[in-house]
Amino acid sequence: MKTLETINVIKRSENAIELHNISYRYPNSAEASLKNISLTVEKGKFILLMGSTGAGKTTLSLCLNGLIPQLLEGELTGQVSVAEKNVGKTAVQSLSKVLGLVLQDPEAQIIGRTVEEDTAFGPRNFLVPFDEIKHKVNQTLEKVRLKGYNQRLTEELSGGEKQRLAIAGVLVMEPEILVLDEPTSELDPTGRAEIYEMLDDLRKKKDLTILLVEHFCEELIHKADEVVVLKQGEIAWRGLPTELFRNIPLMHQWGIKPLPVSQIGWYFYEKGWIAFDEIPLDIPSAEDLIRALFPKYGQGHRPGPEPRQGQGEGYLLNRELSLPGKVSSVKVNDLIYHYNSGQPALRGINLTIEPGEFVALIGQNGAGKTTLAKHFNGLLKPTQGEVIVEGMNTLQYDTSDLSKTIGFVFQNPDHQIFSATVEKELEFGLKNAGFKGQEIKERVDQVLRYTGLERYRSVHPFSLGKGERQMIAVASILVLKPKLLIIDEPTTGSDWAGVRSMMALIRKLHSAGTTIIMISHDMDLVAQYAKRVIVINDGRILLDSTPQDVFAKEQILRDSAIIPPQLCRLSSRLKDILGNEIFVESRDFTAMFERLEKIGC
Amino acid sequence: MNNLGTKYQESKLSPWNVKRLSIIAIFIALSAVGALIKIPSPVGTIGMDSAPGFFSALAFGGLTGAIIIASGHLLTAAVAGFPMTIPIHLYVAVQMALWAIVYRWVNEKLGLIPAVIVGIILNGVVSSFAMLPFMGMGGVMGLMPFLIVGAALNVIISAVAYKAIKGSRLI
Amino acid sequence: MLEYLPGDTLIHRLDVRTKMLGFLGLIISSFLFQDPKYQLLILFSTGLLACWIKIPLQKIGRMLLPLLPIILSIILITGFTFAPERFDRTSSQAILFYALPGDRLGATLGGFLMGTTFILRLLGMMIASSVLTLTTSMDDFTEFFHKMRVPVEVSMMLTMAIRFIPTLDKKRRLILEAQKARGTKFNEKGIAGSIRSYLTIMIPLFINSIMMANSLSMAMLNRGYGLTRTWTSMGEIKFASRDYRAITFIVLLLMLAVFVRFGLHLGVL
Ligand SMILES: Nc1ncnc2c1ncn2[C@@H]1O[C@H](COP(=O)(O)OP(=O)(O)OP(=O)(O)O)[C@@H](O)[C@H]1O
Ligand SMILES: Nc1ncnc2c1ncn2[C@@H]1O[C@H](COP(=O)(O)OP(=O)(O)OP(=O)(O)O)[C@@H](O)[C@H]1O
Ligand SMILES: [Mg+2]
Ligand SMILES: [Mg+2]
Repeated sequence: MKTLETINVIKRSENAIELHNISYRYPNSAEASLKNISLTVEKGKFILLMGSTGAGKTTLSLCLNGLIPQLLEGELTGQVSVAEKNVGKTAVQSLSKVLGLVLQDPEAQIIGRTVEEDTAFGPRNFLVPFDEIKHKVNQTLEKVRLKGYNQRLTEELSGGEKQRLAIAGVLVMEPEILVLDEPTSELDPTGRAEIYEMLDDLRKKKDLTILLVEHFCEELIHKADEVVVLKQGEIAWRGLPTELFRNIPLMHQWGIKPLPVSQIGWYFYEKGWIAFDEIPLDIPSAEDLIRALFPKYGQGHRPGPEPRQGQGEGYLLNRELSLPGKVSSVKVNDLIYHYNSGQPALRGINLTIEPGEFVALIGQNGAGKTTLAKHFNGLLKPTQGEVIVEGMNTLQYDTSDLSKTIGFVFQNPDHQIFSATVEKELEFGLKNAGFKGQEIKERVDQVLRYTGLERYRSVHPFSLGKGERQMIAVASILVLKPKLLIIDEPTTGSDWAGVRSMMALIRKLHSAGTTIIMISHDMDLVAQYAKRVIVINDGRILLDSTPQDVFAKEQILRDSAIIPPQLCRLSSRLKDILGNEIFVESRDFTAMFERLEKIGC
Repeated sequence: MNNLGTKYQESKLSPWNVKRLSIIAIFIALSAVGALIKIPSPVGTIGMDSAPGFFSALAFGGLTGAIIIASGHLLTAAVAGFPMTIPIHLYVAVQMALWAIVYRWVNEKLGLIPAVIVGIILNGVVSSFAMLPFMGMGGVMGLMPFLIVGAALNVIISAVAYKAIKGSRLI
Repeated sequence: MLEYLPGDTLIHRLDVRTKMLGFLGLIISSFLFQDPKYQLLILFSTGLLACWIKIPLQKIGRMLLPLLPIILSIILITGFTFAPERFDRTSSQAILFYALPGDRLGATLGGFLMGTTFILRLLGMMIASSVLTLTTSMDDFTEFFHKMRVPVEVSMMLTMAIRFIPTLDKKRRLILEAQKARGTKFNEKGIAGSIRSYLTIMIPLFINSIMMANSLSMAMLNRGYGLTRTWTSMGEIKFASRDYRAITFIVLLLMLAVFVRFGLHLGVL
């Protein structure tokens, strides 16, 4: 009897998470958000949970610590147990000792006023003695690399620090399992890599079981033990990361962004040149592969990329040729800007952007990108220097007047949506600009069609997902037909499909003649879409050139926390084959093999 | 709320209460922030300090609204350094709580528009007269236009916002 | 927001309970006396306290400015509306002049003095509350609630509310910017115009607050809040000998004030 029990315990304790046939429906929605999910996770594993928007990743995480059904009502069936505890029968609060959940938005998770107070919040609820709390807090802060931050005000932390503090807040309770829901969505590439590093560390040192929800994956392939893919509330796929990331069609099917290098590999695989296992997942192996294959299939040809309009030298040419009489879209002269306190956020910016350009602003968190962009529509007025947009000096115009020619889409769509239907939301800007009846209707119809929002015309915006709300925010600016469109991080938190449809829309606008200025932390997007990249570092312009030129300067970029896109790094390593060409799309690479084939045939 | 036969006798505060607590806390903070939003009007600038309270009375219940509006008033006053002295602010806070409950009640019985009218009368006219013992008739007359315009702006905005948000799945 | 003025004066170091007692004593004595002379004395002593902690002067100015119209109207209106019968002293019942012909709406001397008292009381209270809030940290206040047996939920709620003011204020600024960027004008004429444009701020602000409250409740539960109704208290507050001395002093002063008012029957109008 006794032995049987022990065996049972041992057997069960190997599984950190056990889900049996979980189905869940939110109280106010018609369809179930989770359907028949069964999943076991062994102790000490690092699991990556992926899937498109609305797949149910967040919902699943909430089931794991009992917030569903204890806080959120609705129909839940099935059995959830974590670390031998039946989640349905244990209060959420006591579960937090075994399973720590870090939510998406760090802002609302930070409860204390100072870093120390916030970290101590959990242990205090468990009545841990004062001295022990002190000790634990210091220990945890060191683990998340916030050592010595004890007395800092949480209000004044940077985005990355906030995110790490949120993790510290649950980690200090020493849970066995850590569940993180998109913990890096607003960080620059270096900040993101740091968090992943830290998680990896924690797992190795503390035998922590980790379940991470994430859209991005480049750095995670070799860290995660297993990937679970959700699709419409069901587990669609489960297996080794390498299996998934090599299988490009599968990735397309689940709506996950494939790695550029494996896209190249997949091409080789389809040609029958390599085996499935040889599809590269990182840059060194891709480099080796191309070096090995090139003499065989691509020798003798010094390929150039497919000619793409406005790229490379062409872009510079355009700029030289721009007539002196023509009005620039943006002209910034010696711009210096101070916020009320402390250091200047911009320290002498000089910049000209011509009509029809597609410019990307990149740089680390806090570099001053948003601050600069806000000058373009007069939300901020220069402390020194001047900003002239479409011939108007921003000092002399109100933002509401400038809004007729300059569109600005902010990062968080929820800051601007206030109408009860999508249609009304779009009409609002037009009414402000003084348009009437028929004109309003026509423009709204046109933009709804253009953005694919037609079917949501009379739906409440807040019953839609975040990706769609982002689209609504863009649409509500597009109705004004701006000549210059500024978009601040248009794709954070979107899945791959969302990113692509947003970028397709932006490209469409660009080819229709709109000048685009885009701020982004997603270097793949920047490399693929922008024609000119401006790197901001500490309030100054560090680099300003074509994506190819900028991303070739790996060393300089590293100082401003930018990691060039995978393919650019690959191109730099292949200089002897490619010459000085920097490729930004996988088809540029495959093209050099393709052309040869055509000739060969 | 009770699926799976969830038991939480061991915890003294159920998840639902924690949720109410965080709504109250956030909306109290919002009242203080609302006071920083200054709407120009013929009688001077009006703050949006009671709109969050009136809104939460409609959205989350009369009692919740009452707690929010009263604490919101006190917190706003505290931030400004209790300009009308603490006892008077307490007195006003109790009144506001009462108005929030009535506002919610009228909305349920008669509808939103009567509730708005009642809210404006209570918070504009009745509140002015309630200051009689402290300021005399003159104070009341001086205060009345200011209070009526302030009440109108806050109550109407809370009602329209409630109508606009009700259709989503947030409340 | 509820700023704390760093410093190391005696007032900073006093226990929060002592300070609260002193504050209460001040309110009581201020309401004991109707005579402006006594109010002036109280105002003067609070002024001394304010100088002691080196209060920033412009802060007081900023607090006073919006009150100016009310101050004036209180003096005038009290002067006219306090009927002579309401004063104990005959000197106060004297009517200075009549505003309307036919001896109606007379302005009493007592009325004007009473008005002045109202103002001085208001000023004294303002300064006293500033001194209190500027020298007491938030943690001390929380601890005070705890000691006063205020339910933990209530003090949690207040702490949380104060913690989220800056966060929500940032939201307010972001929302304002987003709406300006799409052409909302905030200087429209008339009440209807203002309501329409400010709704564009208030609705997103409500929506964001609801979403934030939802995440906050989850975050609190995730970290064990509500498991028990107490928690480990950090930074215990303790009475020091200076507190006992200060409390004795406050009580003596208060007794003196009561004696002057009821024993000697001074300070009335
Ligand atoms: N509070 C809610 N009420 C009703 N339905 C909801 C609620 N929250 C989410 N849903 C629905 O449940 C489904 C799953 O949502 P969930 O948030 O779990 O997706 P997700 O995979 O986390 O997506 P994302 O990548 O956007 O975070 C979606 O269809 C969503 O519309
Ligand atoms: N409202 C403000 N008041 C004071 N300082 C500010 C304010 N907004 C930004 N700053 C500071 O100005 C600097 C530049 O900030 P900005 O928001 O422009 O950075 P960013 O490049 O957009 O960063 P991110 O990638 O995180 O969005 C930062 O140091 C930031 O702390
Ligand atoms: Mg999610
Ligand atoms: Mg930014």
